[in-house]
Amino acid sequence: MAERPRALRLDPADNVAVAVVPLEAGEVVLDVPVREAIRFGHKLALRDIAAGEPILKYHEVIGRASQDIAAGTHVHVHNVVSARLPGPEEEAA
Amino acid sequence: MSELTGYRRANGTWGVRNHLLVLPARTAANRAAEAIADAVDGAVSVTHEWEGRPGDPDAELVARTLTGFAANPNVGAVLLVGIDAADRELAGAIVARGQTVHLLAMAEHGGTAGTVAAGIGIARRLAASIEGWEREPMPISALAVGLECGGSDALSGITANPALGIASDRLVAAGATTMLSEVPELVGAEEILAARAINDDVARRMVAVVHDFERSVEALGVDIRGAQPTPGNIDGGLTTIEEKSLGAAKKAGNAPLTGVVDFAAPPTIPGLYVMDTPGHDIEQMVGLVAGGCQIVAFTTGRGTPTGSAIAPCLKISTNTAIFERMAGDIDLDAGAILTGEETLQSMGDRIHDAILEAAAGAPTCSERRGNREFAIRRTHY
Amino acid sequence: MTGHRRADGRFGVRDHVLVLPSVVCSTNAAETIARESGAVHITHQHGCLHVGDDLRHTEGALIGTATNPNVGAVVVVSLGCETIQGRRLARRIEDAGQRVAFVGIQAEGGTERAVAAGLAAVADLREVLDAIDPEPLPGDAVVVGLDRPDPALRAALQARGWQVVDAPEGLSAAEAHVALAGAGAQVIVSLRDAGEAPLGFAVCPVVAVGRDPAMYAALHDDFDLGDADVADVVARVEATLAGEPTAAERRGARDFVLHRLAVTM
Repeated sequence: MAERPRALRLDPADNVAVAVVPLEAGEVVLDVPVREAIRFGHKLALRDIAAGEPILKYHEVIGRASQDIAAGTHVHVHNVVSARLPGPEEEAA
Repeated sequence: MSELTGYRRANGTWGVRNHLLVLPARTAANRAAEAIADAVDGAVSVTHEWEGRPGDPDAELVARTLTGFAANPNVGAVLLVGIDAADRELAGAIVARGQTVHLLAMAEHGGTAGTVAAGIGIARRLAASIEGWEREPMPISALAVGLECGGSDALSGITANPALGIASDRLVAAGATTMLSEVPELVGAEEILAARAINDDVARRMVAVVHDFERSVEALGVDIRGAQPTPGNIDGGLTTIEEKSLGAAKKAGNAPLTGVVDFAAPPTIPGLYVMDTPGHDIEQMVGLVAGGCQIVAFTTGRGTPTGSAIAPCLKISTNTAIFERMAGDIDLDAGAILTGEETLQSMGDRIHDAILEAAAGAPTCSERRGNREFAIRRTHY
Repeated sequence: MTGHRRADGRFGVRDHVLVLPSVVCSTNAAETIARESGAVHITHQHGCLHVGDDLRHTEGALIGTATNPNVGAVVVVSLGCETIQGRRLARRIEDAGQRVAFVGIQAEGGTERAVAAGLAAVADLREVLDAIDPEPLPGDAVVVGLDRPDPALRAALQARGWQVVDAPEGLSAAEAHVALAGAGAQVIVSLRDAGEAPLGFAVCPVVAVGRDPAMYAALHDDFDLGDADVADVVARVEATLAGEPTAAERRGARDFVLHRLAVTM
């Protein structure tokens, strides 16, 4: 019987997956080597994402990368800004 | 599964509870209302921050909300605690909706102490008078279910919200009404919902209500992170308002969008609606209940105990850890989808059944704990 | 007259343990803790989805209430996910010199456990406060707040050696009480005009003066004075400082209306 997935890619077009257990650096998830610890519910980059590129989840844009993001690393508020309401001081790196 | 039952009110609406509500008309009556409800078995009260200042630009909004809340068919009778003749207008508005109201004016009793003494007697008589109401089989078309999420995390859009969406679709297909809210948490999802609108007018309104909110935020010139998403959302993995919104919109399933209504405004025909409310958990819950929702289905990732004094609030966790951690505050666990115990469909069916069971009388955690938070949105400062 | 000396040298004329919810979602737990322990509490509808200046202002108002000199200790009750983070609020209140305990509903594991933790915290703090003897109250430590400007009353209060603070302009009475408490007023004089009903405030005794004869007659029990002489108001303030409960305290009024600077998100 297949093991339960450790991360979920909600749509084939997505460039992030959601960890459904805490992920550890060194494991491989959805064929992507995990490069740092990713907490439950947090996102993992499934491929390299360039600064300014859209983050895709549910096959929708959920924000833009504010700096280059390497595959297998944590995708969150430190490297993503809202595309809709970025706030007055936000600028892409 | 038990059939849906409720109380058929004189004005044709149906309640799923039979409360005696002691409602302060203004802040100065809060203490008297609370003391009366404390002393009378079965009475509930709420506390609010509306002083009734002359010239308050939100006066109509507040009056409409208090009226709708008091007129909710879950309430068998209202003891409205006012100050003086200025509160007769509110009493009249509630009566005009077909609700049983007794107005108690503090000015006729020398203040709080006399009002409480008189109010206890009146409340006991009102309680006795509503004891006679009995449940009958209730048509599902009379049921309106609020769809809410609070303390969301990244799993909200993956487990609990889509499962609730399945339940919502079943209810709407059977002829009921379901109501999505929290406009700030639909930023990024408005086109998805507009595409399902039953006509162009509804589609336009769906997009406009979200764009109006965005413009108001831009005018403030602030970074809204910390508000949207909240620190709890962010800790739970949600990064942006649009990520939160796309997950939040899943509560509405796939049904056509029948309309977009104002805060606390009741819909006219059954179907799926969006109500224009803030993201604030209590402001939206009060808006939904004042707009006629008899029950609220509420998903949560971080865990929150909030509820309504007059409506069952069914809590659904997004993950099993919080369901186990906050046992006593959460009713159902959609985290079972992640563990494989349930599929999305089977969880959706469980939620659907639990909504109807709660409506038929099964108490929710929030009712057992007596949660009765109350807040009315403001639009002017 | 005696008072309770606080860490910063100010004096309280009451010695409350305040159960303070950081957010609307923890108000039920806070209320339960307060009712079962005899502590005071406030109920409010704020704490989440604030932005910008409104966020800072709201946090400041909660801190101001918690650090009023009539409050001997605070139990902050938080949910855990709110915009005005409970732990941070508790830390800031502690940094201001106040005794603080913290209870988080999500951290404790639900309402029931949070209530149990809160009750234990209140009991501990009450014991600490009850072991401290009151001291003579210096006149210049007294701060009286007025929710409306009244030069004659102000002068008469000042003639007693007391400080007087006026409420910021443009606020309602209840909003003014929050601001006056934050400014350190131990007693608030509320001057009510035509059509205005009296309000109370959880941590400060409010002396309610009914200047409108009709309102005073109608809500007699909830006022302390009618359209009284300035000298009578001053005497009532003095009695309040000495420990006599006001009408608001007798009925347990604890109205809290927060002036907001922006809408909720």
